[in-house]
Amino acid sequence: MIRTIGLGAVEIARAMWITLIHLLRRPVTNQYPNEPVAVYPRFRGRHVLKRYDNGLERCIGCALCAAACPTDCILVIAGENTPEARYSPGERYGEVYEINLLRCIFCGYCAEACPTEAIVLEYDFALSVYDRWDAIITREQLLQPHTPPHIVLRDDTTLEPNWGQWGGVARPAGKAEGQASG
Amino acid sequence: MTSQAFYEELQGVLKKYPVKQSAVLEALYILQRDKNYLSDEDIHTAAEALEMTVTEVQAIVGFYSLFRRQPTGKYLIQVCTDLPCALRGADAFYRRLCERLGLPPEGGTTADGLFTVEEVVCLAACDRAPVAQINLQYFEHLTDQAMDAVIARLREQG
Amino acid sequence: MDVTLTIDNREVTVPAGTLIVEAARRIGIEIPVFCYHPKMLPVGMCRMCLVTVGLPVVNRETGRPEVDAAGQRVIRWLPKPVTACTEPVSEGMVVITDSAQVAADRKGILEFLLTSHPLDCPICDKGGECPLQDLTYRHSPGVSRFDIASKYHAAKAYPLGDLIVLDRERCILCARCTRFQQEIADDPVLAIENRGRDAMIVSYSEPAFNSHYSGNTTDICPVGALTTRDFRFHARPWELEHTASVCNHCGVGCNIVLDTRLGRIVRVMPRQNELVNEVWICDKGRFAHHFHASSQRLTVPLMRQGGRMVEVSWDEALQHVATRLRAICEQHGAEAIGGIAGARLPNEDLYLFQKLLRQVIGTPNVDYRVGLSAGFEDDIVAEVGVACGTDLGRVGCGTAILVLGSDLDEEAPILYLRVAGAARHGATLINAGGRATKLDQRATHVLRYRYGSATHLVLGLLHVVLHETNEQGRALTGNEIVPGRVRGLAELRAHVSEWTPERVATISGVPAEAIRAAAHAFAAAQNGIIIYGGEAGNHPALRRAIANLAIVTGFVGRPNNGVIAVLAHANSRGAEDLGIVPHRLPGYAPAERHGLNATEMVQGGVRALLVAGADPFAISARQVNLEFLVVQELFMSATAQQADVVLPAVAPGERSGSYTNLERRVQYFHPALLPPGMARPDWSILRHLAVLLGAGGWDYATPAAVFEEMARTIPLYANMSYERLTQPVEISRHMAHYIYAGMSYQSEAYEGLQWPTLAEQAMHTFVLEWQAPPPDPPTRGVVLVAPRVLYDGGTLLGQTQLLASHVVTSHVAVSPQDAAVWGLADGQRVRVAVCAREIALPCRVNPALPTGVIAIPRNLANNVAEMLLGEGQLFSPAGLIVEKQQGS
Repeated sequence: MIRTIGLGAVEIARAMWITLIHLLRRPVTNQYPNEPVAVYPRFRGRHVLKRYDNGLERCIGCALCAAACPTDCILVIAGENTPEARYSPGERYGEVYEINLLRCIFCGYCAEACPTEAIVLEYDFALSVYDRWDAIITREQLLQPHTPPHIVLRDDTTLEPNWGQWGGVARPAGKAEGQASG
Repeated sequence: MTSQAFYEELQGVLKKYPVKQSAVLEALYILQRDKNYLSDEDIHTAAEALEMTVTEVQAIVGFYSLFRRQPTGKYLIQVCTDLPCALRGADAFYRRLCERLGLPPEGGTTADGLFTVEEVVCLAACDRAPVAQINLQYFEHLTDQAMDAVIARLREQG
Repeated sequence: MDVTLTIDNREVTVPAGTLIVEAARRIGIEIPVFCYHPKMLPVGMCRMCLVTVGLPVVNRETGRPEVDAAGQRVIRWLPKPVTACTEPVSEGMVVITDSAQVAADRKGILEFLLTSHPLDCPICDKGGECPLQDLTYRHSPGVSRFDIASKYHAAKAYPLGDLIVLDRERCILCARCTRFQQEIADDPVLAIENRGRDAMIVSYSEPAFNSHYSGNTTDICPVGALTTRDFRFHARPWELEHTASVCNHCGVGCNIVLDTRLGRIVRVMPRQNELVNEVWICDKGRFAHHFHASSQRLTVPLMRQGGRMVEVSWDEALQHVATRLRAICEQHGAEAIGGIAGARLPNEDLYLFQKLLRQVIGTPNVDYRVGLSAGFEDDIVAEVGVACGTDLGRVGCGTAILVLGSDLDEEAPILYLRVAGAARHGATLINAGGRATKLDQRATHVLRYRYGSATHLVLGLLHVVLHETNEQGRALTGNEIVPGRVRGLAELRAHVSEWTPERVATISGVPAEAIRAAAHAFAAAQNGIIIYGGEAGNHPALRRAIANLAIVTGFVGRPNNGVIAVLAHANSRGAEDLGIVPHRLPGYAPAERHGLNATEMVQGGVRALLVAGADPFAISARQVNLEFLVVQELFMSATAQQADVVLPAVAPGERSGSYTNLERRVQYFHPALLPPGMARPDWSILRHLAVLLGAGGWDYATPAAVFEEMARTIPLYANMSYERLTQPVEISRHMAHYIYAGMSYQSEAYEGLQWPTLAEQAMHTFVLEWQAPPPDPPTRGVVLVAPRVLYDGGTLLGQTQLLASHVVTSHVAVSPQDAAVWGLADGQRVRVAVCAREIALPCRVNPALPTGVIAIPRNLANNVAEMLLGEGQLFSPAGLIVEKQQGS
């Protein structure tokens, strides 16, 4: 009987010891959203439409993203640049650009199809909305630089692709900034 | 050239051809003969006289380099500066010619409207370069002095 | 004669003269091309079709092909590759299209083409249906040895006219567009200017690219160099949905495809039908589709309540109409009600329209002849119309075409292309008209008659045919007509004996010799077609004379023979067939009771009027003097504004139905869009109305049910059904590959069905009835003519902004001689007065008009011509006053 109680006490003490040790360790739980979450560089989250350094939109409204999309969640309606209203280099720009995030499967085919690297899947994964219609994000939203405070890029360069194999000259398919395609 | 004179001369030309439109080159040549270039009005005159569209006439004028659409001096001096000629000093000769006539290096028409200098590619006389074609007449083995003499003579003729 | 040759070790037998590229296509071997187009003469400009060709060696002594030891024919290979698009086949020829050499040639050509072609496929309207793109994927080397930085740059988005955009960088100078304009459209307003790298497509016409057919060049352009302003950047080709349809802007009935995206028509493309429009459509058909998506469309039934139009429900509106009609019917009798239906309504609607009025309401007052259709009807085509199987696209040498009083380029553009094409292929073309038209340049005989004397001219032709003999001493009358089948020949011969060409010459102003020559040329042909339009005047005697001419020359009852009436609207022929006239029932059965015509109805002959798809009160001089007016319309037209009830109808692209074209070809069209708001198809509105009026058996659920009843009850439509109208045409007749047709998809192809004329019945007896011509027109004084123009002030056309600058503004056209006499110049105002009506309009000097003729086009804004002349009058009687307005 006493032996049983003694063994029990030891077991409890061992368990408590583990608890005690973990009390002193750094916790693994991320205190999201109070603390930011770090994602890997090739994480595919919410889309962003990029601009050139001179402020012009990269998107030329070619709708190849919509053509590549396996879920048909992208709608592009192109418009024509005029000297008074110029949105992108060249003749054509994306006048309407909508993505239905409820349908999107974040496969990244759109970014792969894009001839101007305009559409990019970035890091935002917090896509909950109060209204279904809000899940359709528009060109204006997509063009805003989107850096939500609760997500950071993981500081882990070992996972970066090795661009050195391209001779360190240029990234593949890279284009001079601000130039028209073709 | 008055349109009256043109129509009269054209009547003679038209007799040579089975259809009017065939006379287009000759008609344009007549229109260009006096002032060395074809104005927009000339193109319309030819089109109307030959029952063609302005577009068709303009396309023919654009095809043949001897039809000119810009006002041209009385004497059109064309100097070949292609490789074989350049090896014989034609390019330097051309530059100096432009300089002496007070023209920019790309040629042009002198202020008095007498000379137009133009750089061309091949006059088929490489062995006699530097060579200049002045209104369809060839001047070969040219030197600056020889050219000056030619220009002076043409100036005299006015 | 047939020729047998070997292509890639496969034997093929084709007619002599066939080009290698066509022979190869026949056995499914595709030789890539850019400049070649089967509708045009080959030029061999792009060099893409290079193939290796060998010819059999023939022994000079024996004259037989030499054979080697193995018994194989000895082939002498041509030293250099040959362009397959310019080389006709020859007996024993050997062609190789799949060798390494040919592949290398293609690689080289594409590499060169791409040195000056930009790589902007992502933003190019052609990307996705581009022959250059596809052939590059299939045949190019993949990489270029040329530096991308040294790529040729030139003007992009260069406006070639306001409809077509040219991208000079993309042009590969295949000259398809310039050749189309030259060979097919007869508008040589495009050309290649300059040489080498500077060569470019230009247009110096005023306005630029001035042609009714400009849009076709964008279809046949093998790259994205020519694109339309209308489609520019509106969709990528793979995003489009395609619906087979029929154009509703004129009577030709061109087959079209409505390409829709997001519920809107973004472009209209031609759909191949070799019997109607081949692969072409005019710019009106291509660009004037915007009325479908107009914001001014009616979407809700409207009812006048206390002087204001109030939106009501369908039930309320239809109940009101039924109640009022019943009341008027009881009070004043059924004759107090009338109906006017526009000839742009499909057959099904027109059939129900007349059935509702005649059978349910019981009134004979039905008419369609308002607006452009006013004053022009046709009752001879049912007997002597072009026979079934007529194909204007295949006639040529041996056929005579008489065009009488019609400016085809303006009234029926694609018919112009086909008639001009027949003339190009050797047909005798007699263009008889009151003024110079574009067709003159293709005509072998031009007869310029005085307006009002067309009937006399035809009598003159009849006189020559009946009283003269040809050089061999044979009669000019056709011997195809069995004498027993024609009655009244002797009487007709006696009647026309006084109408000698000399006498006709003094009346019509056409020289007697010209009449004689034209009549001889016409009668000498094996096949003859008479095309007549409104400018000939629409006297019954004229129609009779035309029919008589067709019968005595024997040009009836056989394919490629007969008469075509150039009626105004998309379904004018159907309106004639279905008896939308007060004196005829469907199927050309005479009506027992003749009703009032449209003019009598709108001038107060009826108390209540049903109007569907027509605008009889557009002429502002008309006062609405009706108790009750119901209008079924797409837009708030002038008539709708006066109506008591306005019912929103659906546009052709939003419904199915069938039109009957000028050649009596019934063609079905599919719905492409959803109707806006609460709009309903006209047939459905009429059906509901009939049910509310107590009719039984009106349980049509679809237009197909209506058509089925038409086929059952009207002999003309016997054997017709939607299934038969949409019978797919065998693919071999078609230029299957999109390289020729301008689009990435194979559109559905139907030919439609023609109903047979009486002349085609073996037992039909022709009665050569004599009708005295109208009085001679005055030989002095000024005549005012109201010709039709393509871009008029029509309701539907007005909704297309793109064509706004093309719409003809109100003006008076004056001949240069008259302008000199009256001291007029372009833009000065002219006062025109006739019969106490007068108007002042700007003048436009037009060398196409003869002296003594002034013209104000019909159906322009404000309907000035109709106001002056009265609706349906095509030219003025005497007493016209023209003078320069003072102070201008």
